[in-house]
Parts: sequence; C-alpha cells; structure tokens
Amino acid sequence: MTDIADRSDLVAGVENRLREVAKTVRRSMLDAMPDGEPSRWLYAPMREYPSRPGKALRPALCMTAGRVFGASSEDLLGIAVAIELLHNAFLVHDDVADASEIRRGRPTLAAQYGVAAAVNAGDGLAVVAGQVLRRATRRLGRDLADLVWAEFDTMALRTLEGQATEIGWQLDNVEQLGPEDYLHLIMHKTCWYTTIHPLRVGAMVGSGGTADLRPLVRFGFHFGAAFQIRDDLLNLVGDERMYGKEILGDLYEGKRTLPLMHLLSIAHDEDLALVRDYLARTRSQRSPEMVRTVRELMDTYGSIAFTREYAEGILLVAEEYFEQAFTGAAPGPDLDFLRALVPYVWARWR
Amino acid sequence: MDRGTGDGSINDLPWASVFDPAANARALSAIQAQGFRAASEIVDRFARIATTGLNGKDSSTTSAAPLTDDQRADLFGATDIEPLIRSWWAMIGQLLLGAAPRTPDGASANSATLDLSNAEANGKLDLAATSPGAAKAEVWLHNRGANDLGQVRLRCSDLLAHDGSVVGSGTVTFNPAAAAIPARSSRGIEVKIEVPQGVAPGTYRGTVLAEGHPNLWLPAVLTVRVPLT
Repeated sequence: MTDIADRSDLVAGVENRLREVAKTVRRSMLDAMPDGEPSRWLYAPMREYPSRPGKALRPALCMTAGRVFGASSEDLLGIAVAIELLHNAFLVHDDVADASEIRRGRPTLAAQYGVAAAVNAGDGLAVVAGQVLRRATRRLGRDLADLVWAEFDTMALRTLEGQATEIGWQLDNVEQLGPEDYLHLIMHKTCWYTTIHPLRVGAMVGSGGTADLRPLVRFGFHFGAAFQIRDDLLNLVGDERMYGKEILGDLYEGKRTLPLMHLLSIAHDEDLALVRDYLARTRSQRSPEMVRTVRELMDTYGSIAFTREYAEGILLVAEEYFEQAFTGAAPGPDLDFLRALVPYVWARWR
Repeated sequence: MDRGTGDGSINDLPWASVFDPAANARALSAIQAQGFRAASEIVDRFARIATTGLNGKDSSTTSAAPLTDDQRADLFGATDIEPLIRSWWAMIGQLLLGAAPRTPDGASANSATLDLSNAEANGKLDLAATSPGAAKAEVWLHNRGANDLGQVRLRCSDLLAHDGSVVGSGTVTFNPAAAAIPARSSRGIEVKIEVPQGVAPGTYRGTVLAEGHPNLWLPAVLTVRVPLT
C-alpha cells in the first residue's frame, strides 16, 4: 500500500535527482558558451535562460536511459547538454513568437533585451548546441554518431512541425478541433523532444545502436503527454511562484490547450460566441476580465475535469509501457528513477 | 503540495491503483478511455514511422503491438472498453495491411499490358497511396505488327469508390504523355495518380483506355490508405 509518506519520498527522490542533473548540465551549458564580444547583446542574453533554474527533465531522461542501457556518464553528458541547449534555443524563440513576458520566474529575453537580440540569442544557442553535440559524438563510432545526429534532425523537425501546426491553428482561427487534434499537436511539439528523443538517444548510445527504440516512443509519448497536460492544467489552476510562468498565460495567448479545445467543442450559444470572439482577438485586445470569464467557463463546462480525466487515461498505461521499454535495462538507482517518473506526474495531479 | 483542487466529480482513482493495470482498466471512465484510445492511436503510428523511417528495419505484423492478444485480453478482460480496443486493433490492422510490402507473386500475370496490334488487354493497374500522396504504376504497350502505330495516348476515367467518393481523372498523369510505337516495339508508360488531401481511405476503380484503340481498356484500382503521419 502506498501512503502519503511514500509519495512525498518519491516526489522528493525524483526532484533531488532532477536538481542534481540540472546543476551539472547548467554548468556544462555555461562552460560551452563562447566568451567575447558583443557580450551585452549576444553572449550575455544567450547565458540568461541556461543559467535560470529549469527542470532538466530532458537531460535527466537522456542520461539515465543511456546508463541503464550501458553507457557511461561521460559518453552521455555532452549529448544531454546539447538537448538542453536546443531546448533553451526553442524556448527563446517560443517566447518571442508567443510574446510571453515571464520565463522561469524572470522576464523573457524579448522583454529584457528586445525581440531582435532575443532572436539572435536563440540562434546562437542552437549553434552552440550543434557544437556541443559534435564534440560529444566524436567519442562514438561513426555509425552511431550518424544515428544520433539523425535522431536530432528528426526531433528538431518534429518540434518545428508542431510549432507550425499550432501557429497555423491560431492564425487561421481554426475552431473545429478536438482533443485528438491536441494530442497530435503535442506529440510533435512537445513529446518528441521532451521525452521520446532524450530516451531514444540515451538508449541508442547505451546499447551501441542495438536497443529496440520503438517501445520508448510509446512510453515517452504517454508519459510526455501526461506531463504536458499537467503543465497546461497548472497554468490554469496553479500558483505563479511555484509554476514560474504567468498564470493563465496560455489563455492570454489563446494557446490551444486541451481544456480550451474541450471548451470550444462543448460550449453553446452565447458562451461559444464569447470564446470565439475572445480567440479572434490579439493578445493586447484581451482584457483580464475576459480571461477570467473564459477561465470560469472552463469550470462551468467541466473542461478542467475533462482534461484531468482524459490525461489520466493516457497515463494509466504508461507504467505498462515502461516495463516493455526497459525490459533489457540494468536494475539500479537509474532504473528506479525512470520508474518513479509516472507516479511522480500522478502525485502532482489534483 | 496543491491537492485542493479535486472537485470530487471525477472518478477518484486511488493512487496505489496506478500500479495495478487490471484495476486501472476496470476503473477506466469513458473520458479516460477516450484519452487512452486517442493516445494509443497516435503513438502506434509514430512507433511504426520511427521504425521504418529511422532504423530502416522491416516491421513485422506484431511490431506495433505493445502486448499480445492474450496479454491484452488479460489486461482489459471483462471491461467495457473492449469495443475500443477492438476498433484500435482494427485500425492497427488497417495500417499494417496498408504498409505491408506489395506481394511480388503474380506480378508478371498482373502487369498491365495493352497489345495494340492484337487488340488484347491483360492484367490491371494496381496503385496504392495515402491521402495526400502519389501512386505510380506502369502500363506496357506492345506492337507485334509490322505497322508503325504512331503516337499513342492513354486516358483514364475518374476513379470511383463504392460510397460515391471520386478521385478525378485530373489527378492522373501519364509519362510520357504520348508514346511513339513503331513496328515491332514495346513501350512502358508510367501512370501516376496524385491523391489530393482529404480523399477518404478506400478502394477506387476506373478504366484506362488507349486513344484510337476503342476496343482496348484496362481496369485501374487505386487503394487509398490511412496516412501514416
């Protein structure tokens, strides 16, 4: 039987591990950053996001998946750092595209340095990620290095496809979208680079390219989708200090999250008209009152409850898929960490 | 920890049941089942793409299946989501069927030929594509006689499915558009169908004819599969 004490142990265990990885990866990211000029308008902004505390889920997944399949930490660190740097590059551009104001508890690069400097910093981070990856893959055999690079290419394209799909939905003001469209979106936009890619690359390096990577797609998606939906929910019901982003920021942006898609599919008459009118506006035309009204409609129509339940259905089988994905993996603290991730997502569910 | 937002209206799963898949399946509400099914459908597509696209390995019929039938029956036995599982399996089956390599047996018997000199047509045009996507096949024109038949053009009708869906003749192109057929010669013509976005999966049938040869025709069958992406 699992009780509250076990649960907080588990949460603390996962978070400690993530913190450790975050520290190592943060140091390596900053070490990889070029010094020199122009510092104020390029290298300093490039260091901003990597030095802010992030969850480090991606590098942690890559390193532990790699180790349970037999790789050494030295073989994995550079790859994990490259993943996190690319993630930071995506975040910088994402914040520009979304006109977000807060990232990891502080102003976004665009808010602090202006859009132009932010775009350059994002490009710079992507270039440095490539440098780090090139150094890291020199340790590997040529075939394996090719496989790893191909994984990175796939991951980057999947992510861009997802971003483009989402932007298209917003610009075309697409309304006929259901929960399945949302899942399709986050498969591309989020899951591939947050969970599937780090796990696959880790397993690839650990096994020398021999591990069956297919079950990792399955586990990675179920875990990653639940993780993302939880994040979307925290944006609606959470607390700004704990969350580190603007509360209701997704709503301000008109981001097509699962609760919003549910609301669009179920609201009727003037409520539906109101939501549609809201979404047709630009961000600056959306007042706090409107945001609050839409948020209240989500309660009225049970969109929050629906989202929780829908995501539970996705997460329920993740445990099962975990066992399949890591059948040949070495037991130990690394495998325990990976196994604890699903209950970890559950533990902060409601 | 923020646990105060549970509204009690949801199926409150005991946290420990996460570790008991059978209990999970029994406790699955309609919405949870919807999420489960949708996720499974997407991930199955991607697991397959990841296999064929990146590793270049062949996928066997069971490769996309996370569990065997027996395991699954055990896992989800006696629950109301069996119909969902069945439809899910049906979909996987469709995908696997669609993605299976075309059988080479009888290829020569099936190869589409128009014998212009003897006014004889053999075989059929067999094409398969996703929507959107392109399908290609070849028609061979034979002239066993001593007369130059000049330029021969092929035409294709609209392709029609049983439910009335149509893939228009405008999507069909021939390369070359016209082939010179001198005496005692054979020529292959490539038939390409650009299946537009939004065409429903199914089997579409039509007819290919040769201009100037009113008694010659070949059946054309286009199978439109569920797209993998």
